[in-house]
Amino acid sequence: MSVDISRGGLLVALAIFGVILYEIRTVLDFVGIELPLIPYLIGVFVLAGVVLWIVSLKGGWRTEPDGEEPT
Amino acid sequence: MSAAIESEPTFLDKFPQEARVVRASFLSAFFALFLGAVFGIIQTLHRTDIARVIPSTDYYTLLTAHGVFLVISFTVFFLVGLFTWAVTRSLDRPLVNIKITWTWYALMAGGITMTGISILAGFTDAIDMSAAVLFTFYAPLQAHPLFYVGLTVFIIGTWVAGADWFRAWLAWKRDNPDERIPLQTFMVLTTMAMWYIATSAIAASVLIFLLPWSLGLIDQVNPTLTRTLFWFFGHPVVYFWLMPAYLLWYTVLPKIAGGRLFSDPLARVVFVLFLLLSTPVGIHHQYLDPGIAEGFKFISMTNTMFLLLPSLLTAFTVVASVEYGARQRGGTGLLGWLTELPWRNPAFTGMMLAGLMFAAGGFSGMVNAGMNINYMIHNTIWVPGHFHLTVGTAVALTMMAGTYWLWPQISNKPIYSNPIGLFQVVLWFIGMALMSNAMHAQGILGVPRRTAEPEYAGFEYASSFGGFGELNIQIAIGGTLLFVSTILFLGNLVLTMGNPKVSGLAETLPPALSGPEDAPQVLDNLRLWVTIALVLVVLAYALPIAAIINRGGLLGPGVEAFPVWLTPTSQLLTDAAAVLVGNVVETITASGPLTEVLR
Repeated sequence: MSVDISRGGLLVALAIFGVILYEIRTVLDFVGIELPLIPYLIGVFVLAGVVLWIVSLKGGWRTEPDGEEPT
Repeated sequence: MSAAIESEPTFLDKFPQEARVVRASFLSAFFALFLGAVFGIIQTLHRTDIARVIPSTDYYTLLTAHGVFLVISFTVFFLVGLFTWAVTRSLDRPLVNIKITWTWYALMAGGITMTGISILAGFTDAIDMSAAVLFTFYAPLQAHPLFYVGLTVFIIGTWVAGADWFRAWLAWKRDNPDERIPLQTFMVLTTMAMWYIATSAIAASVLIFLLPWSLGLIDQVNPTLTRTLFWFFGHPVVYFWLMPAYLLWYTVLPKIAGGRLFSDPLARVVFVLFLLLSTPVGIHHQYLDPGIAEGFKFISMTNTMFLLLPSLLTAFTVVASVEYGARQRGGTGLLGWLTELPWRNPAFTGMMLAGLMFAAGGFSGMVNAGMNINYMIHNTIWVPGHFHLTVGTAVALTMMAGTYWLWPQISNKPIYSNPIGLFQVVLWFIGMALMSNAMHAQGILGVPRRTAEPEYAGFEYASSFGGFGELNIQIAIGGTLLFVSTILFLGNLVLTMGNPKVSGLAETLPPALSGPEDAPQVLDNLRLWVTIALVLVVLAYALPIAAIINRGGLLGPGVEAFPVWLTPTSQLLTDAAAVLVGNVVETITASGPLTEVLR
């Protein structure tokens, strides 16, 4: 089974959700849960890497040309 | 690839001379981007105290180089290249005289070289020259005259460039009297009209005040006046940077998404609104200036809020165009169409991420523009956090992404690596998210901007958002990712230049869904819009400038409003006249009564 999303789409989605996930740390800080910065940051990147790894195990992302030629 | 596309000529095939100008402009822009990025990373690591390779006394020189190379050299060189492409392509005819075109390029290159030398000389004591005045080069900071002369030559170059494009349009109009102005040309012309209005103030500021002051011809200047004249130019210049990005979002992005521009008339309305509204708002940069009455600041704030309208119209039109493209590619659902977009294409992804960050920049911009809440973040690092989202991402990332699409057509060489390009634009997004966000947060804590040493003895910043030290680490990590992203972009481009030329790279831009025939004719009446823009400028600026001069004097309080060299010169002339008159009188007296002489 391949993930029905292009590699770019996956990277963009991971980047956006990664940034949101990273910023959740600030929210947690406000409610009194203090987490160390660098381990948390590394954790977010590792999590993104794990997602990419799982995707590749499942057959990878969609790589066929998807109509980027001039219409 | 079909035979038809193989045989279709690229921009280089059709207009080889103009393509050379575009390439030269882009390469100048990217050289400046490289310099700016190097100064950027040194500055980020210095300020955050991660690594210090320069003494703090050189920080202002570094900051000036970072600012000037990026927001004057990189952006404007890219703009002139893009606009040359856009005018030539949309009018489908070469420029009138390519020698004029190379003349403005040479003026701009020569001008910025002079300015660059004057800044970089500040790093060495061997040369008695410095220009550590930052990009916002108003008084009381004073630069070496070469800095101002270089900027003047550079701006004259952009004026000639604008005239070159207006001339191309007029030549086209003679052959096509009943046609609507092609959209890309319309965008270029309205942007340049705005630029002429905006730069008039900075030209006056440099030629009448700053340059004579730097040369020692006048003793002092009125700082509030030079600040006001700078911001008269300093806010519209933001839109001057942004308009190339808008041009790409409106005319190229829908095509890459597989669709068409949603509405040509809306695009025209947006550019007219920017022409009208970008200049009479500059005083919103001066909310804390004591020399300007609150009422004028309020007017400026109101005008600024109106500027939200074209930005929101753009958000609607661009997203609608992209959604149309996605649905053409088979996308369905409320948000499901997003997955059908060409996210693997670095040009598309870069522009979309740039647009997303621009939305965030718009929010922080609203805080800057609000008179009351501005006081909270004024002169804090929040402000650089804001403009790294707008000019640093919406503009810079769009320009890089646009290059991935445009470069093959002006060189006939395919991009060396699209995967590296994709990684590069996503890395920029992540780096900027970290850096800019932490800058905003530090700004709320009150951390000042424009200083190598943002900490004070005996004072601790509040510990919210993780605290000052932790936010510094985020800024440093973000800045490093941005530097890596820039190097990847430039490396990819250099390797692309080594690629062999191929055919089949031609791209065409499809017409809008709602074309120019749906736009009211009056939108193309540039004279009308320029006149209204000038009236708005007079309304917004005449009284504040009169008040500033009235209160502080043209050249500062207590200073005569004429150059110092006029005093000895006039004394000399008076003495000479007195001697002359004395001699004449003496001669007349000696030769008898006047009546005798006359007889």
